[in-house]
Amino acid sequence: MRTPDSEGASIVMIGSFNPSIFQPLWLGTQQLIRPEEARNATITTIQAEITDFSTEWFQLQVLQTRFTIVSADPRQYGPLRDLVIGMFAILPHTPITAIGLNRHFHFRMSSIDVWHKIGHLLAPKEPWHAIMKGPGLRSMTMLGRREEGNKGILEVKVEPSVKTQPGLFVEVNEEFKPPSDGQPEGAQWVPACLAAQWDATITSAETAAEHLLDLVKE
Amino acid sequence: MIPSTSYQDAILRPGSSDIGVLFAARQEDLQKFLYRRLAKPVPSGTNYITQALFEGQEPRAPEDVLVRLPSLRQSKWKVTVLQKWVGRVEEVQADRFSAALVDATNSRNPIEQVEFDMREVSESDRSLLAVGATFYWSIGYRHTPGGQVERISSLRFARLPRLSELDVTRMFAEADQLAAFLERD
Repeated sequence: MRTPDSEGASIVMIGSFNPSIFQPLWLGTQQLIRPEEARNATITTIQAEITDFSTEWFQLQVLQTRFTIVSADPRQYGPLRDLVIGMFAILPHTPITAIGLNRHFHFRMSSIDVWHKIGHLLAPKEPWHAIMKGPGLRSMTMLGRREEGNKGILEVKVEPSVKTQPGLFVEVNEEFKPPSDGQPEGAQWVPACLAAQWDATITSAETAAEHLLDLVKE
Repeated sequence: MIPSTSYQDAILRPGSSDIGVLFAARQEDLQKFLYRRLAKPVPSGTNYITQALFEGQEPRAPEDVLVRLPSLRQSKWKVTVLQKWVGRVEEVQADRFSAALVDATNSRNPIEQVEFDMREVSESDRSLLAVGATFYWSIGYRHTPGGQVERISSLRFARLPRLSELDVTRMFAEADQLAAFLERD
């Protein structure tokens, strides 16, 4: 894959969380992260309503209804999945109603012209000229499925990069819900979902980004 | 969609009702991710804002506390991975170990056998080194905030929760059931 200027991956869950459980020392005690990582974590806040801290390779933010863990280090995408699997194997009764697997990229485009070209290809401007001057693509999200029959809802978002000029931002999100038969309960479905889907989401994000860049290959 | 890199379009009001979380509406405002306690109604008959503070009286704590939290942060280093593998330890010796590596960059590549020096393993990962253990190995470049480009090779062992006795008992019971089923004829 073409090397991005920057990238990241994250796991986001919607449910009912107890933020103050998610502390670096708890993760260290459970041997889910290294003891040094637990001791040296940078803590922004740990309260009943919100936890936010970061280590060298991930940032964790937990609200009462939302869990977000992010890594901007592509070496750590496997360990990121393992960490979340570990947390919810220990907390299997946490009610989780949805999980989103995400990967994003910022790619530098070779020129402004190429940058415009991808916008024109994805969103032709002709239909817009009658109602505005200088129409440009601000954001586009396409919805679908990674594969026929796959349970996840796939969204691919394309925007001008806010970090790299001229640059392209591509974000791939795949969202999964608990099994419809109602079993297993709580977070018991989460480890299996992550084990089965994470690598595929990470790889499909690369494929999607590569495909979009190939549209304007010179 | 459950986006991760930005919080625009999201206003979250958890069920506890006294907590509000306000998210930036625009991309450029992401640093202004706000979290606050919602103001409680001021009892009638008082004028909270102009209330006089008498000597020795502690100022009344504001009911509407605004805490500024960072949005999701960027890493200090940019890491570019050239190639990464998932390894499974096959043999452990005093100063080295051998492993089978699956190429995670290109799954079409064949499985490779590689020997690692024990010094490649972080001190705190050594207790995880055993036959069957899984690890992640990456090579690539790290761009430091100071502009230095460094060639890196990093090895990290997978950390998964220990199975409880109950889990082990359940797995053995399931295995026994399966074995009994297979041996039925």
